[in-house]
Amino acid sequence: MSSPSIGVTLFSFTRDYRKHRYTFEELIRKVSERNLGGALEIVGFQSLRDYPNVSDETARRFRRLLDEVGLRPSALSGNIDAARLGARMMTHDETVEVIEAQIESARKLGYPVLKVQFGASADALEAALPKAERANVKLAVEVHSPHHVRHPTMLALRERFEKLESGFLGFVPDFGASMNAIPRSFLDHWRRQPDAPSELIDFTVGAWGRAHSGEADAFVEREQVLKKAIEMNAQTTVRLAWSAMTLYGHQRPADWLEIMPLVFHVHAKFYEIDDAGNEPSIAYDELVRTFRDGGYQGVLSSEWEGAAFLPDADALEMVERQQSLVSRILAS
Amino acid sequence: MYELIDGPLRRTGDGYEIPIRFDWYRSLPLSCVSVSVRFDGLPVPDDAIRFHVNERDYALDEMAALVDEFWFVLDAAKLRIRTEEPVVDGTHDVEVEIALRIPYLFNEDTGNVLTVWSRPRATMVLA
Repeated sequence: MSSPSIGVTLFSFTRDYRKHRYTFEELIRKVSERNLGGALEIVGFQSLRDYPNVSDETARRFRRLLDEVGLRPSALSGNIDAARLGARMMTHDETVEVIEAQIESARKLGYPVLKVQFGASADALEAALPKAERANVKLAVEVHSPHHVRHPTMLALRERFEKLESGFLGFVPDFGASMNAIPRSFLDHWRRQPDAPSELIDFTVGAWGRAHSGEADAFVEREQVLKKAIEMNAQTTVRLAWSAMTLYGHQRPADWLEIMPLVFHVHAKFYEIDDAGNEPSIAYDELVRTFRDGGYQGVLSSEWEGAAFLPDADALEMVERQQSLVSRILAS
Repeated sequence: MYELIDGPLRRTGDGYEIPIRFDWYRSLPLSCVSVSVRFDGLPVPDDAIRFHVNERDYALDEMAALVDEFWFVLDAAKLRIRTEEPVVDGTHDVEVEIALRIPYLFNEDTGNVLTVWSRPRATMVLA
């Protein structure tokens, strides 16, 4: 049985890119030079100025560059901006339209998978399915914390995908949905902020623990933390309170098996790699084995989300270290 | 952290302009961006501010509808501020609040959408 393969998303290098240290093209070359896996994921709204309506010229240049450096496209990371208007959510027709535009961009760029988000309803995805089939682009909804495979939103999608049996509708599990702890580097970073009340941080850690043990509902705990942050006038750290209660999920790794036949791509999320080469806040051993032994043969796309908390870490090196960990587990 | 006030304070024909960036990993539609400014400690009226991006000026109250106009993640925008009197040369205290509504991060049950705020502040010299 063949094993999952290793790849990377350019999201991992967001800091270097935003600081103009590397351009989009330079990052692609770096990924190739440093052998960070053979499969490249990009974030449409980050890398391409003309996204979501990618021009032929943009697509031609991208495909030529990938050919030149020997990388293959894994998944195009799209977004479903359902709340783009403050006054109302996107309608069904608007949602179908934004999915279809991104399918077309994926097709032009050569991507076999378009990652979408939970803002795409089962109805909208079903309506976009003919376009996806014609373009030969699979649509995969990211299962990202605070969602998990048994969240009602995901259950509704699973039911529809299983009913349609199209082979074109599935999921992108994100490792951050199954964590062991809030990353230490995140809490250190939060404590360093000028207007971060320690009372709020302590309250948040307690709330995360209650949600993790199953003693309390994660969504309810999150609303309480956000309410408390606003009450304390800690708006500039609301984002961190939100992150703590949103990005570090509680799903058991083995639960991914429930959707394994519908998994088209995986975000191998990580925050930090310790001196022993492990990710202390994520059960990498169990997760990687679950996908390998569950028969997943797609890409484990390395996604480093810890840049904001580890200001001195080198992103290319972080990905290298995480990929060593993944390779070690795959070979075990 | 990026420097969110990114570049010099410049005089314009009818006031001054402040270059700003935003702190998110991807481009956002202008409909998701709100800004406000304090200059030397005083609030600047919204209707004196124009948001300049993609080689165009936008009034703040027209941005809410602009779902297809994006602030690209690598670009600085300029806040172009009209003043009654010319601003004096020298040192000024500039404070900007940038609120980003993150359009794909919402709670299906409550309808709450994540908003992230930054409040960059800088002492800038107009010469």
